[in-house]
Amino acid sequence: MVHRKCLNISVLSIILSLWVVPAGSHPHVFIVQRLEAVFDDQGLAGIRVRWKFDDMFASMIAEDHDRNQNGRLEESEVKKIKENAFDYISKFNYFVFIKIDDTPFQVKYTTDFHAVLKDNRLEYLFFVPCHVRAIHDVKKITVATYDPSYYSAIFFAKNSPVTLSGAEGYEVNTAIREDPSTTIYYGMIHPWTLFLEFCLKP
Amino acid sequence: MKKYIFALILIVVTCQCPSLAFSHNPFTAERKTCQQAPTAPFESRFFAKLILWQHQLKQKISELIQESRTTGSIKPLMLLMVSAFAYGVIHAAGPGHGKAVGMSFILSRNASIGSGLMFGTLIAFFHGFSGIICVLGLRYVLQKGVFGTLGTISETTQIVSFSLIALLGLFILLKNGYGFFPKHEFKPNFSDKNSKASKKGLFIWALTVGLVPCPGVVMVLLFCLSMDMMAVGIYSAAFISLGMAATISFVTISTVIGKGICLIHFSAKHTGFVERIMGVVSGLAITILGVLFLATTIR
Repeated sequence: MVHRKCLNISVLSIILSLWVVPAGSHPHVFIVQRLEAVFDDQGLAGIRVRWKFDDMFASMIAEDHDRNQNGRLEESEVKKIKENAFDYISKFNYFVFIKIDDTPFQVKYTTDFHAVLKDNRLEYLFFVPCHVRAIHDVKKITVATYDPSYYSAIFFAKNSPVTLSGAEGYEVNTAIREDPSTTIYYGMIHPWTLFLEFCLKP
Repeated sequence: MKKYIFALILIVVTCQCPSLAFSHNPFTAERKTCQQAPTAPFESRFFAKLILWQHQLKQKISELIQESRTTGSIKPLMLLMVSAFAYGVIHAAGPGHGKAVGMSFILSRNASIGSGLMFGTLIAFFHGFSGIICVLGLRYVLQKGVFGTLGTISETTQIVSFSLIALLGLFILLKNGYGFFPKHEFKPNFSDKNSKASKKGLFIWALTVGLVPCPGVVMVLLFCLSMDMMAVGIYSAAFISLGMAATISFVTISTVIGKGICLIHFSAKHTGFVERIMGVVSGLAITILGVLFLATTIR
């Protein structure tokens, strides 16, 4: 009886250990994000992304890119950060996966990249252009932000995770929840996703 | 019948062929292939919790390091010890850190619980220690930027480590497969109870598996160095490694116990045969893992 219990425990422990393993990597970088849905007179213009990195990743970036070690990032340093620690993720949609009425939208470029280092905290800010014309029927947009390799884990901020700007002329609904239709990291994670619906005001 | 079920369980567990967690920072290194999010075989709430705990613990660690610097007090260092250990435990519970290879390797040997503990602990300490050596070597000896150079070092160590893992698997496979030929009397493989040579072997293979620097340790150490707190960085790295050792050893010890109990159900006549099967399957699993990791790294 004791043997059987030990066996069960050991087999279970091994299976539990392997249960999470058919995957390639685990998060080493943690990001807290805020999204801003930006509207213009046509409809949705795009998504402004603000990523706040964990202190350790911030110190790594500062170590290599804050050349004068003044605790701030000058324009030339921001440019280097963009080249060496941002542009590589262009192959991964800049980690911003948008669907317009369930059709994937490929993020080919971003604009207005800026990096800020303040009190040893690092933030990236950039804009993802994504023009969706508003009509009287409801347009459904989802914005899932994740690193497909899961080297980085991205969470929404607790306070004001999503804001709207220029949306006065539209009826807009937003919700943040896990998207069961998307899975990452070999099916172990559903990314937290912004569900955005908008239409012209009647 | 029961005995065959036990054997089957062990083989299936061995054949899980999980992978280690080795990838490059996507922010700082170009990947040659664009990875797509795969479809879901299953989902895990527990895994999501593990990620969140890691995030919280990492944040706690950085706060405690900063507090220690500001106050000069010993209290944050005590809490740092606990947090770093817990971070190590949870960090190693996720994919990677040599658990799969370590488990398969232990399964292929006539290992004692002590050997399982030693092997798991050594893997974790080599994994953490190589991170420390990497950071200090790059910063103080080569005087290079750690962030950019680390990717190259990780890739080189991965290629070396995975090649050796594949060779190890092949060696285990051949050694055990050789025993199936009738004219060769089978001797229990890698009997490591009370054998100094075998303990040396464990040491070398743990070094092989743990060779790749742990990014978790690297980040904590770099964070401390950015605040001129090298000693605190090494102290944190040591406790993270200790935490990882607890998790990896849990797996290797469980393997030893599980295998031992399974073998009790076989008569002495059949024990050798079952052990040989396990050896072959483990060798095959390790070879496949090594080759797959190598192919992924080189691609």
